[in-house]
Amino acid sequence: MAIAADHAHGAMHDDLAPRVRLQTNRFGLWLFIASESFLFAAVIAARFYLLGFETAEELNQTLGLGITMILLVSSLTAYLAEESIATNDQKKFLRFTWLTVLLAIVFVGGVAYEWSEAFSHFPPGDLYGTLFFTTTGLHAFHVITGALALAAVGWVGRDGRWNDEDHWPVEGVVKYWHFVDVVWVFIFPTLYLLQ
Amino acid sequence: MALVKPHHHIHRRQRFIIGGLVFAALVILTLIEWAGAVYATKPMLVIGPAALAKAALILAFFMHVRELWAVDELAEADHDLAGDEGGDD
Repeated sequence: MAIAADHAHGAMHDDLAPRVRLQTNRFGLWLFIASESFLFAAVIAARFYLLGFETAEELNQTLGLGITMILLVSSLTAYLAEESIATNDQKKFLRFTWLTVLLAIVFVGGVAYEWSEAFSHFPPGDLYGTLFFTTTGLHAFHVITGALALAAVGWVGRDGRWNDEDHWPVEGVVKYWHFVDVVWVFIFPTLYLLQ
Repeated sequence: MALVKPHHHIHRRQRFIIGGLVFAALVILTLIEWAGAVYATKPMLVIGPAALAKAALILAFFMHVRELWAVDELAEADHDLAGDEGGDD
């Protein structure tokens, strides 16, 4: 009787453990995202403290709008990748994951092009240039790490490693990717639009 | 090993439609920001709310921020489940 009770308790524990683990993972990721938010908030606050609403006319607003749209599309494809694996659609999961990685590469290419132009506009020591390179560089670094993480879950999942019941790494990476998008939602108007 | 998916009850097609609608809203808000920067006399009054709305949409629909509050609901479900198991003994 006691053994049966122990087995029942053990079975219940096994059943609850993944759920608790998932909750813990999610909470930990949100804490990480919150800490990252403070970092970007500090950089954006510095921009307003040092320059007010002043904006550099040299920046290419059209290019800024273009790479913003690319990042928004990548957020949709990342969302679709997560939803696809949540319904066990392996083919669509892989397709949308790699499409997101491709869009990330295009975005970084756009930022690199913007930098190549900005170097000629902002000499070393220029205040706006310092803030521009710091903010976009920090964000681009996050885009690159997010793209690498997406590529990793895509590569690991190429043989059906993830499924509708077990795909926390996909969910975590996609959440991180959306966070990168949210950050750009504030960086784009802060650097390119305000005047 | 069944992990909890708070929105799993929503039909797959419906989820895809939600994603498309949110994306469309994000694009429209971005264009509003752009227009506000070009045409508005006080751009901040247009750009600020639009940026906040975009962030809220992504947090709510793409990042499922509600999961943070759903933890309490799951804990209650766990408690109920444990109670049921205890009742069987």
